[in-house]
Amino acid sequence: MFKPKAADMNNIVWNFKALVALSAMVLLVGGCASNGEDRVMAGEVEVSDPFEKANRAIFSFNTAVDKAVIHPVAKGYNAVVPNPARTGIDNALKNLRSPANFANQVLQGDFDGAGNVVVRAVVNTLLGLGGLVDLAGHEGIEYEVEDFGQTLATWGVGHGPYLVVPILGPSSTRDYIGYAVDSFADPLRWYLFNIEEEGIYYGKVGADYLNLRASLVDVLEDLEKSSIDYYAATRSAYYQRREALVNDQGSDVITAPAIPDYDDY
Amino acid sequence: MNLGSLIMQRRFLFSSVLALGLVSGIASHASLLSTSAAPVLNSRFAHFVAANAHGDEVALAAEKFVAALADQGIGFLSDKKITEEKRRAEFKALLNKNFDMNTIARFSLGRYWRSATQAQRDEYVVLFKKMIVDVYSARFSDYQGQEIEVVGSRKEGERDILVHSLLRQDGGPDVKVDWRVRNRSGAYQVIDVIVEGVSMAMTQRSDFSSVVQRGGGDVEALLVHLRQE
Repeated sequence: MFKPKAADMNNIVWNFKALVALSAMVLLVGGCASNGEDRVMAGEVEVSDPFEKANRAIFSFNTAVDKAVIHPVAKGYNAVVPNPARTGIDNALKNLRSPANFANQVLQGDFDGAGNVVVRAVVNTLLGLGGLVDLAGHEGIEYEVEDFGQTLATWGVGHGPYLVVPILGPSSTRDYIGYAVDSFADPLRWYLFNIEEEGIYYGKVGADYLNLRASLVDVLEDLEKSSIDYYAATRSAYYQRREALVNDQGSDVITAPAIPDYDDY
Repeated sequence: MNLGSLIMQRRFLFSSVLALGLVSGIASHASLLSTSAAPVLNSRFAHFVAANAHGDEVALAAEKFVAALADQGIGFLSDKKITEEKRRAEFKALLNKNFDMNTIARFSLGRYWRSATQAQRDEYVVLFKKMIVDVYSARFSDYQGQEIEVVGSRKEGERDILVHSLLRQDGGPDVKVDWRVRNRSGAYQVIDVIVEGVSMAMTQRSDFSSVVQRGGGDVEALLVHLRQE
């Protein structure tokens, strides 16, 4: 197996980072890039849910469809496909997201993050069996999902109303717009539509959906069991999770709510 | 399809899965990129040294507290010999000793704590504790060999330390779990658990607030549900 020396690899890494930083700077001439440092969160997330009645109805519908079809499929997938293979599929799908992650890192002004995306994509595609093995992750360059919803957030765009969409599930208006932009801009989509292989693209979208749902099986089961109002608990968890993603889960950024002292208890 | 080719296929499947596992196993020990990567703490106790370097005794103590709590919890969860009843009892004792249930309960009720009568508050706290034990003992009953590794901490406000840990599971990705630990003159208790940025206390609070709000703002609406749990 081809194994470069550590020093060579370091050089390659550095060159990529320089290249990424340079191209990003060219792209952003005149623009202002927020580095997100002023986005320290204090805990309680502002939730706007003007369509709560409709949202709840769709949420019930989704929960029913989920119980009947999607949850069993996701559970079956977890049960039938052995763990190393599932991880491989997850890694490969994450690797295919590299263009979107890269573009959004650059748009967010996170050049280190953009460099990491390139390093990850190159290393995992070339040395990690076409993306099946997350070699870079094992070496501490961890995967970070970056979408256009997060980019809008770093530009100061608020969530807008909370929306529950049939089958697709809950999100905020901003994040749904972000999802649409990411999907439209996906080079894989352009390529596959160009060679008239739309089927493969839709297959990949389906795989993404199943992969996400399968990874959430335990989380959602837990949430439903531990909550009285599953809708409200999901909404809260959604906003908290998105906030953490926008802040890149940095340990120096507070996303945890402050809990006061109750000395008068 | 004849039997021979079927066996060959199965063998192929098996060996490719094995190869995949091996490769990822090797990958975790290779140091291809280690010079450029952020340092990964492999030793469970490496972080103690890190905390010590900053001379922060409180952070160190809080990290040790979480590591000990995790070890203790995993200790009896992985003990297959004890009965379900015993497991539950031990879990309850562990929670009550190491979690500040009164603070968590009160935070979870949010602004409705003020409007509740003393009788409602008392009943709520009792029911809340019972619910937490039920929920968490069910959650942890399907323990599958995960490990919790403390990787660092940061000070939060006057009394709290946020202890960062990773939940390591076979095959799956690591899960980031942060423990909000409150220091009361050297006695440590957990007041929140934050999983991948989602705070248990905050989620509980949103849940309860919604129930009370939809019940016309009366805490009784929540108590009705909690009594049924």
